[in-house]
Amino acid sequence: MNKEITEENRGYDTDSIQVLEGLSAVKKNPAMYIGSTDERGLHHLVYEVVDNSIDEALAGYCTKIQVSLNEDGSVTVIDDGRGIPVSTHKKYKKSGLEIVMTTLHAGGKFDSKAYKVSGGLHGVGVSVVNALSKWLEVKVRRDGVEYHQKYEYGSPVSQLKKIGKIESNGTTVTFFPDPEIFETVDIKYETVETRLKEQAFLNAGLEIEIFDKRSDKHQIFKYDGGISEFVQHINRNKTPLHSNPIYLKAEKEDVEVEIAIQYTDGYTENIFTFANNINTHEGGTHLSGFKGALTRVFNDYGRKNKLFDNSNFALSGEDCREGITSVISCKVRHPQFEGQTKTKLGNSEVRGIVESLTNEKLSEFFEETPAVARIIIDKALTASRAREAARKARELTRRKGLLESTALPGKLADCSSADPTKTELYIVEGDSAGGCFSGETKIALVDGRNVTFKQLVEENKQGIKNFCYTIKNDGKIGIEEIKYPRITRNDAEVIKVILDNKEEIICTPDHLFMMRDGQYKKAKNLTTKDSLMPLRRQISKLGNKITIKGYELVYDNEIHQWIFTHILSDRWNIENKIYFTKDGSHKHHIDFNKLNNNPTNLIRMKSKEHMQYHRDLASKTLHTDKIKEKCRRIRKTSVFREKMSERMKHPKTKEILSKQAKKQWEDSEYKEYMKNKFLEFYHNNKDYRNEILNRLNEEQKRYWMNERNIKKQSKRLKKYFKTHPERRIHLSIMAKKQWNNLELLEWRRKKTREQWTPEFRETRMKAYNKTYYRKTIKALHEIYEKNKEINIDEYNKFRKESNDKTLLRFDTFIDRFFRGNKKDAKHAVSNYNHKIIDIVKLKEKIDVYDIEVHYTHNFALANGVFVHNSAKQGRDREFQAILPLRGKIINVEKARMEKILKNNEILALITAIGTGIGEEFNIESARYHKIILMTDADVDGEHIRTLLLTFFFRYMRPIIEEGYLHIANPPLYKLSKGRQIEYVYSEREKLEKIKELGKTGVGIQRYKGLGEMNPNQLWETTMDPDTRLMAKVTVDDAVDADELFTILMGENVEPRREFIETHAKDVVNLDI
Amino acid sequence: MVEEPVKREFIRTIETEMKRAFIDYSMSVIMSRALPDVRDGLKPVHRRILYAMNDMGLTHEKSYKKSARVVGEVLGKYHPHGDQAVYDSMVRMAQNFSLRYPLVDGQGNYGSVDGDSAAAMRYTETRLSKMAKLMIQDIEKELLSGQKILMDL
Repeated sequence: MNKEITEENRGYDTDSIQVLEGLSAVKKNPAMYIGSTDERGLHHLVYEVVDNSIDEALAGYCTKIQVSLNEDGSVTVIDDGRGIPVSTHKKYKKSGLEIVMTTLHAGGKFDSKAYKVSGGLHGVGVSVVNALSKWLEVKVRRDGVEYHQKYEYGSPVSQLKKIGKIESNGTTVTFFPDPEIFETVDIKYETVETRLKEQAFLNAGLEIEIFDKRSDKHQIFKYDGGISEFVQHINRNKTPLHSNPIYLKAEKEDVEVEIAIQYTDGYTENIFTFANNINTHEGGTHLSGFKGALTRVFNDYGRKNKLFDNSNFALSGEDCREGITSVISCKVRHPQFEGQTKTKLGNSEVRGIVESLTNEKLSEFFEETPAVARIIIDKALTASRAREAARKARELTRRKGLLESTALPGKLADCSSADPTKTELYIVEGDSAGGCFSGETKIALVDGRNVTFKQLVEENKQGIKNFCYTIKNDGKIGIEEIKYPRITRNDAEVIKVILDNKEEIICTPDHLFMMRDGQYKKAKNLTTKDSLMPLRRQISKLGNKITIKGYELVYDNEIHQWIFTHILSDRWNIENKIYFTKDGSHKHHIDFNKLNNNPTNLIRMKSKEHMQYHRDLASKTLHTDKIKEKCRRIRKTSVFREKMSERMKHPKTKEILSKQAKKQWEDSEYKEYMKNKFLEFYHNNKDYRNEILNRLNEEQKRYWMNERNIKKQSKRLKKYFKTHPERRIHLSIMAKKQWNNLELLEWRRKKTREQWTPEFRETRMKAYNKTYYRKTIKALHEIYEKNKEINIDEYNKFRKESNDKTLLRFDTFIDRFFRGNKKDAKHAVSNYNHKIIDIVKLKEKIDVYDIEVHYTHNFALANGVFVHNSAKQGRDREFQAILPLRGKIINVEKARMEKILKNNEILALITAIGTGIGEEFNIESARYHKIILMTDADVDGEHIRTLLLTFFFRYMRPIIEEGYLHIANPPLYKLSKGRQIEYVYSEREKLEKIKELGKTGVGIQRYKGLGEMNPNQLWETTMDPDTRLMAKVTVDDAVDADELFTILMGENVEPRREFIETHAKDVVNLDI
Repeated sequence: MVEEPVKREFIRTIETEMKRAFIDYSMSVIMSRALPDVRDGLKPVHRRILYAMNDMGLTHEKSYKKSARVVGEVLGKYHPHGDQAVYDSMVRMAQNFSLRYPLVDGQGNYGSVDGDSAAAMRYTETRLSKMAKLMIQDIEKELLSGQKILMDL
């Protein structure tokens, strides 16, 4: 410390202490003074005390500071400065020490006599530390005497005492943080170490020693090289372009400025600025002064030495700063700090000083060492060329509309609110849960129609509410409203899934299909072994406990029962409080269409009222004169006649007519008359006779094609031959005689040989197998449906009874069609409805559609399978947007901007956030003020998190600095006991909860991937703002962080290996 | 990392998060993914495939089974990662130009030395090779103690 010690500024005694403000309740609002009460605030206490000692060093009186983290958790700071004044203050009638310790904003820093510059943060001083400590002991060595005083919770508990004589000067402060104020009182060695090291760099020659008595760690920092050494230290894992940092220094008008610069072969810019030893994260006048001057010096030098091809060429500021590592430290008499975190220097006079210093001294350096100048300028020129290339690449992407804020990435599921202060963007690992379908795909609607996605979009625009079938969370069937039908992606790749009922579904490869067990599987991963959740519908017929006819029934796959659709709709209405059970027991279809089971088409009525209503309406609509007249006219039209004649052909109509006719025929007179009349007609009409004969022939043919008739006849025959054995013998003799004919035999043999070609055998075999399979599985399935299991005995009984040779024995069936795997066969029987036959990749790209279904997130397609909807996880689409990332993103630490911009995942990220990147970065245009990283809780998830953090740190640091970046905390375990379910977020919580629930019978599920949770679980545990747990990402020390990113993500392997070796024991979550 | 959060939102510095996440990932990859074990030359995924196939009784004298079934078995019981990764590892074990003594006997298109990739797992069939039998014979005698892998087993 090379400050001149004048008589004037030696006058640091009690009288130079002024009190600017009275006592404040620091304890009531500690965050106001130290930022927060978490780990960060806790360490702040240590810095505050150390800063006081450093101020002594700045003033030139202190050369050595010792910090020790004691075994009992307290911290001791010892310096060899002048010691805090102890004599009684003229005005306050207290010792100087006590004033400093108990009064806010008390100290010598406000008087330029005692300290020329001081770094002590915002002057709140050591009194804050005292106020927030359980106890604090201070020893002052001054004028050959050692004094001691003890405080508890900020108040003195002992008098200032002389405890001995001592030669040296200085102050010793020992304090124990108040555990009631701080969340944790565990002071971390590493954190303190980083900070102290930084201070040692900034104050060349000052020796700072740190002990950790809890673990015997010990280090001494003393850097005579000051910030030059600092820069070298930052660059120790990078490759510098010149060995010695450039060091510039000047002092003007009470402002002292030091700058150290060293260039590396990296691409990032690392400028760290300090004002009065405080890290000015947000920069300020010293930084802007430096940047401006640097660019000017580069361009002047380049032009002067004809290093540029074109005299109009100019390097940009960014070019000049690529690969720079620089530390700027200035010491100002009256620092003014601005900005959100008070870490931006505002003194305008500093700008000019830094600017002229850089201008003058850096030019001088360049002139003196042209070799280094040449290397650095070359580096800037390369950067300029790369930037130009990147700009072109960016322009290209912009032209394609990829980076424009209006064209959001297709994968982004945006929220509906446009207010960035309220909205959140979740960056989720893994592909989106929902794929999409072609516009022609039909959905089964509750109102009895099957409607395409395209039409749904149209109807949605007109405000029509539609409902679909869905599998509820309990596995039962239900209905739910269709929301947001829309085009989800343009020109998407699609595949065709062919079902066993020959239905085809065209969808994106990632679309989730619902399996029979309620799990989902991506379309592209489906195999012929998978059984899909089927939707089965039928129209009710009378009988079998069913009393109403013509209504739709759906099959509930969970309880294995047919249920009326209108009952499901009724349940929906009651659940959604459209009406109540007390309104009546009858459900009435408002539009009288039995198949329109939309909940909107249902009302509840008292049973009497309901029947009456139907009768009333019937009379109203059908029996007015006007209608009758209308009917008469309609009957005369040809359309009506045609329709009528068609209806006459209808079996039901025929039945009625035949009944009427039969009655007529009972009259014998009428019968006789008709008989005669017919015979007369028959004999006189040859054409008619022929026609009748032909028809008879046809009719017989058809009759004999019916198996039942053949069987009937065969029975009759059997019976006949049984009762008439002589007839059998006779026929057998006849046949033998007939087949004695050699010619006939030869003909028959030849014919058979001709028929039985290999092709014929094969097709016959195939056809037989097909029939066997179809018939057997159908029979088995029916038995399965009846008994809920495959009852082999019952099946065999059924086989014997039906005497159907096409029904195979169950084990033959297994062997022939399932390679002997009984389990597969059983599975196929229980789900024989929906299986995949094949999946075909389609070449053409089409626009795809999807809908959303709340709560259950699945719906049924018209071709009878259930699929997942597009709702992204369990978000609240009002304010939560989701951006899924596919796999691992590019490591930006190892790539240039140009390459990064070619990466689709990064592009999607940039456009979704909306701030732009590089020169165009603008935090104001951020579309979300919360950006939440939500990755799986496995090690790959952690890797993706490091990659994303690297991207944000290197290219969007303001997002972190503004406090936008967060990390979601999904629960680690699900504990379940009976119906009770608890989610826990830490090991400790888990142990506590298990104790609470009782030790036995607690099911523990460890969540590794987000996909293990159902959407509603995910919402409850991780995304619901009221219950979720989230970590806000902050940068504690930019220098430290920069170094860490270089080591962990950078090009050099060696430092990374070293890091892994030293930290290997810290591994928390090892996945083996 | 704050173990026991008091508030629903807490601060985490980018440094601690990076250190923790990186060391977890790198150690896991080093210990159980990227490096073959010196004792048998296998990575965990290979060992899991062999174990699962042996469990399914897919020995060299039995008939082939669809690769997709093997992959499903490995995924479901032992290897909680992507299906393609498992299949690719299995394919490599079947290629006589990748392993001098293939451990898996593949039926169907298993790729060629020119870099053609194998057919999709729903087409190819597989079983253990004779060599694999030597590798895993006597496993049922449980001379070495095993370790459970997935929690729900």
